[in-house]
Amino acid sequence: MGGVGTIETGPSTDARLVERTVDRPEEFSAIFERHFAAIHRFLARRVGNVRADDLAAQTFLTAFERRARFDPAADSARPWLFGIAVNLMHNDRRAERRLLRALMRLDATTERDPVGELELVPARLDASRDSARVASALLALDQDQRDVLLLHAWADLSYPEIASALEIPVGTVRSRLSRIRETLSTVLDEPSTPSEKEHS
Amino acid sequence: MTDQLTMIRHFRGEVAEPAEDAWTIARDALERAIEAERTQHRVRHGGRRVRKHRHLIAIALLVAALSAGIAAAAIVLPDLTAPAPGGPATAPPRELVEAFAVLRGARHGADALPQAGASALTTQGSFGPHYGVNPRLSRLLITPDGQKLWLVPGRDGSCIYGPDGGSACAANASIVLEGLMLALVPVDGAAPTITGIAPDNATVTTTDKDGSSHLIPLHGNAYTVSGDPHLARFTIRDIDGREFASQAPGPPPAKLASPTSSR
Repeated sequence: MGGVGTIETGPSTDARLVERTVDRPEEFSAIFERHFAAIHRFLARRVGNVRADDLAAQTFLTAFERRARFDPAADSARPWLFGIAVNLMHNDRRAERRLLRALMRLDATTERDPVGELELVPARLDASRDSARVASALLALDQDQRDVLLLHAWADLSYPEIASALEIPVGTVRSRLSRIRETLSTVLDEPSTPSEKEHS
Repeated sequence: MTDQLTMIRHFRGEVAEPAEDAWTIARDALERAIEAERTQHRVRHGGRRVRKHRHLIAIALLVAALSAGIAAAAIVLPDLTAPAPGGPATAPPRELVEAFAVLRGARHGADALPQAGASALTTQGSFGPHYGVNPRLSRLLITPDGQKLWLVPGRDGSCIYGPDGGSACAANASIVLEGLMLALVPVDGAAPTITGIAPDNATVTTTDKDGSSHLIPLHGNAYTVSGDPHLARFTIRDIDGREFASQAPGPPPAKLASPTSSR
């Protein structure tokens, strides 16, 4: 019986695209178009839009330069790209803490955006009511814990994908989330302060 | 945890999609990197040995400004290595920005100077601090044959940092007219590889020992002349027709020459 050829009909997987960029680097643009918005949104949430513009661009430049290290067994480039983005973000640790501290001061009564300079506008006022507590909870986490939690909650990565992004074992992801749970319980389950109750 | 996670998810809000500017800046930066690699790829597979000097033991480099004499001036003027009174520049000087298109676009991640370059240009006693050079203002240029070159602006003067670790610095007043070049001179006597920058709209011409002239291609503000043993002179002609000529770099100092290269 003769051999059966395969015809690629659907969109290429990230792994195939990255593989092809060895000889055709211009095809990396497809990876950029596919994932830039998600990476930028994640970074904007963590460090504000202004820093996100720069970091998102750097993420794809770094990914392009390091694409030979991309694991061809990984179907999606998302965890890899988020991992690069997180690493780049660590170079400016203060940016995230600055943003969180600003959100802690969020003025829920006036709907004023206290972080206008960072161009991050909270989605809804009822979210802003809890903003101070959530920002406070996130600040109570260390950098590694925050990375795990926010890759899960904001980037929607699975545990194995987080492990891949941060180059840590899946077990470490689980244990970090366990510790995060304890910390969040302590901070978020505390009764609201009187001033917060006024807003609620 | 589910409630807590819901709260954290809710907290992420609804950030806007990246602005068109963000897309453009990132896309441009990536396209530049892709184009640089494609150029290198073409060169690698084009049969030319444009990177010949990498296989040689090159001396770290000959600081060479097109205005001949910059290196010599460093020796006779005792204060040329004193730090600039105002410290490093906080922005590229206006005259430099007006002369070099590469400084007029947004600065991207790819423009970052390699750490080795930043160290070399900020070492006390070197030309960098004297001119008030600031590595954070660096811009990447890609030569027509795909080599990377960084322009590092400073308060009074600026430097270029080459792919093999060499650097050259000169006063901004000179650079805006005559550009700046960096020559890697192999110690075995082979012809130097010259990488340089020229102001917008300038032309670069080389003249060989037999008197024949060649127009050198520019990519943006950058050019390379690779290992031409017949090279005798360099000429930069600016948009107003003014010409600035200089001799091609000579052989390395005898004490640096490789013993195996003597003939």
